[in-house]
Amino acid sequence: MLPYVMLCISVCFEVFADVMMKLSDGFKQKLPVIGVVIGYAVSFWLMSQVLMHLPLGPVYAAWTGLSIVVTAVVGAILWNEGFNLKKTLGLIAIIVGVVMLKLRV
Amino acid sequence: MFEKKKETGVQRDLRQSKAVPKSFAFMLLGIAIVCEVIATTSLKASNGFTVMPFSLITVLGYAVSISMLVMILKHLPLGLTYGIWGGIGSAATMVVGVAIWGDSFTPWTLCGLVFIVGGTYLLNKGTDEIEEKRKPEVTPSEL
Repeated sequence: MLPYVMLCISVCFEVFADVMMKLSDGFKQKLPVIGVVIGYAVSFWLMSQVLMHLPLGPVYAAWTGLSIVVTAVVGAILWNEGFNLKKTLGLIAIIVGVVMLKLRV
Repeated sequence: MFEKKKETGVQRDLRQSKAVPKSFAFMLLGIAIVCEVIATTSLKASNGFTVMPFSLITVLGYAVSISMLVMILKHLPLGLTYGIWGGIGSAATMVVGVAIWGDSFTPWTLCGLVFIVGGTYLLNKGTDEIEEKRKPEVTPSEL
């Protein structure tokens, strides 16, 4: 159970880092840049812990897929980026493709 | 191509001011993805950070890639950028893995690549349509 929780927390830190990237406004704001570094560092450390318990392929597939979904949703909420049919289908197709590659079926 | 419909000066200014950063941002996104693929490939070659040159390339590659993303996000939406970066990055890493380490290339791999490339196209197109729809109501208030 715990590795799955850690995987979700790792995704949260990854998305946090992405949000900080957007907030830094092309390095104009300094504080979010520190957020980017911390976000990625914590996210990767958690992933390394998760990988001690679970296999790389499925974990990486879940991590990339979840990050793409959550980042798109957070972008839509915070910056009103919106959703339409094409964008949603595009995101789903990318995630399906990533899962296919990482699972190496 | 350009005389299709007459645009006002304001519309032209808006289009030109947006058109330049957007193509520039996509070019940067391309570089960011290349750096990420180089970094990920070096990560494997570094053998758990025991081979010094490859470890350095890994750290440098990720640093450049993430710095590029920060610049790109000034011009492009977060959902679009991250979707393309994650998707195409994974696809390109896969292709490099097949080319360099002889990773297996199955019909599923090909399907995965097709899904990612098609998905990126749809995501881009959808995002464009959302922005296009909003433009008329944004134009007057921005002046």
